[in-house]
Amino acid sequence: MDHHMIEKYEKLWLYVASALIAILVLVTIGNVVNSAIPSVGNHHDHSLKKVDLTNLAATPFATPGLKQNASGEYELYMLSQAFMFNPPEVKVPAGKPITLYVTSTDVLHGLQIEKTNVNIEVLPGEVAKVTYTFKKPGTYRVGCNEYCGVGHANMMSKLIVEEAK
Amino acid sequence: MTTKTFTPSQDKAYDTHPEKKIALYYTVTGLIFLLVGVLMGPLQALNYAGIDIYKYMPFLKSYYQGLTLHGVLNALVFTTYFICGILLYIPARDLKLRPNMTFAWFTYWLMNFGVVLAAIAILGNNASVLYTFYPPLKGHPLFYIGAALLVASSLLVGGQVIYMWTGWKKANPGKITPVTAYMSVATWFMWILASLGIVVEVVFYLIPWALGWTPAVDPLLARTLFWYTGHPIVYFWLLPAYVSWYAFIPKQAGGKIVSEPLARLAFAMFLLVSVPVGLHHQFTDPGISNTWKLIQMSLTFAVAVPSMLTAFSVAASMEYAARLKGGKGLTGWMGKLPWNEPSFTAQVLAMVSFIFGGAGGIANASMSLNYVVHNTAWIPGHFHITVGTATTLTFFGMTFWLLPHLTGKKLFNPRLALASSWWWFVGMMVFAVGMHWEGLLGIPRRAHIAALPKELLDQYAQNAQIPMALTGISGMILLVAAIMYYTVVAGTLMQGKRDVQNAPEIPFSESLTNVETRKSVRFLDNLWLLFAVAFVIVLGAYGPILWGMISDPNLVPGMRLW
Repeated sequence: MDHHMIEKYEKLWLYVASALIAILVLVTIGNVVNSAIPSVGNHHDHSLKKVDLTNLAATPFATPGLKQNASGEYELYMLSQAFMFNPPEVKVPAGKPITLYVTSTDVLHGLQIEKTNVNIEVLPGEVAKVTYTFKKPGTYRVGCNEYCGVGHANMMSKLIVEEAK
Repeated sequence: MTTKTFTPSQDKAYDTHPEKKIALYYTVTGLIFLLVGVLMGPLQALNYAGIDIYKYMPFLKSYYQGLTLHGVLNALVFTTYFICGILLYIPARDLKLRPNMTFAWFTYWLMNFGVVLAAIAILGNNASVLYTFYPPLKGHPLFYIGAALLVASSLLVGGQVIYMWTGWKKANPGKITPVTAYMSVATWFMWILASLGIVVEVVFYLIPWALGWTPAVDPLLARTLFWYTGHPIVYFWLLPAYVSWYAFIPKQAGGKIVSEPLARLAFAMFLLVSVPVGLHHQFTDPGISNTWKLIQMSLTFAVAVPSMLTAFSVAASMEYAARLKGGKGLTGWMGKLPWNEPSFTAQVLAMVSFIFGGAGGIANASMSLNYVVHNTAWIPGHFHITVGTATTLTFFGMTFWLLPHLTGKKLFNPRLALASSWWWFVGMMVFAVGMHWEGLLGIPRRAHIAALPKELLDQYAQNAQIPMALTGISGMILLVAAIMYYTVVAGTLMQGKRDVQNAPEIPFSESLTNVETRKSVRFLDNLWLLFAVAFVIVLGAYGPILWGMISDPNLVPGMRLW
């Protein structure tokens, strides 16, 4: 084994490694662009990007919960606050796209729905928007996954997915 | 600052090499802080096994106070001290220069002062904000001031090394920087660029706010500045381990560096692309567009390339060494490696853990996979086999030659040193399996789940008994490993007898290739130029994002919720 041979293999390895990385990048970009993941984004249609926490009454967060907008689509407004989710329990229909809007009234929180890819960093005043369709009816655990204070672990709630009528 | 020419002599360690003493103080102080942090670990591992023993710990107000100590001491304090020790000492010896000792001791005491300030805040339960200290959770001002002084002193150490190296370049026109010094200086350049985010966050936003001079902060801006530093800081932890793997392991294995030009290229790439990657910690944040997230994701993947080069190159160096000793076959040569040497074995085990840690890191950095694992137990599972093993076990391995080298005292009980490395490795592997698995089941990170009422804990624990048990067991294995390791350290340092004459030398490896004639190597030696290019890349990848946040702030007041 001389160093010319090592350098040859090394160059080959460099190309293979770079190619693998390039494939990963392209596949992931494809996933994001095709919305194959419920990404937290600033889509251009997202008008409610920020809310004034001293005046929540003027926003849809005044009455958190599931709503249907003018075109019949489901919108779920949720608030994260120390140390609970509001509403603490919510029912949504299966098989329908649900657009979740969530913000925090105090410090950072997380919102993760088990068995789904819904995973959101919740920042006070910033509104996160994620669209997800629950296929299977059942009870889903919702947990806070960002440290928010001494009651962080207790910050759990339920999302009940019901058979569509 | 002046630099003097160093006179080689081995008779009285500290008389002829006062820089040995500062290296010893930096590394051992770091190890002492690590011991405190490590002792918190088993409590947390048991928490993730559903067992709560915090109520028996009267000196801790909460799980979160213990976790703050664990994270701050292990990830921020230990690493910074240890790296300042080795990356000041090793390049100085490689360049045959002596640091200005007055300045070096000043940085050491400034760092101690900062850590004491932060410790007052944490031990009083006035800064249980974890090592990420996201506002608007508001800690005591001393915590932020202490953190700022810790970072500031590390930058002064880095500045001193760069100053020495610049002086060396002037004194040696046309010469190529020796490889170990090159890697060390590149690491410091990277850290200076990388630390800007946390410096701006803490100095301009958090300190004035914690002191009550400003009423509110922007949590998204603070988080973005934090992760600007928070990701490349992992390369600041990793690259000193790479220095050891590239520069010392070949010699320790009995061979030479097989591809020095590639080692230099890897460090140059780290300097260029380590920093503009922090957004991959913020894939699930609102307020940042997917386009920027995807750009920084691609740059993150680009940083994987030099790590893959390192894997090849270091393995090739070891194979070369083993074949020199008569090793044969596709894998049979591995038997010829010095497995009974604790320093060598600890570092190879660190490398093995990094294969898994690095692979997991690629999953974390992928925007589509990240949604599955973000802020779950998977993440601490990941960084315990990267910084917790790849870096820490390499540093442990280095101490097995470094402490005897610096003090002239013999390594106490090498067999115990070897055993401690295996126990650490196995403990961390078991921990990683348990935590990655818990994370995939949706168990959140940093949560005091063991204190939950039974029906709530069961929501997490119902299908996680096996991984939870593994996590708890791993905490006990790691406690044993730590006791063994610290017995070796204390046993070595507390001996009265010195034999400076026969102390081990720094295991600088020779190179198989002559680099003096290579144009690429000559070009890469322009670290100031690479630093400037890296700065421009960072400006492009972060400028527009930060400008958008600064011009449209979202200010909220602080809160104490612990």
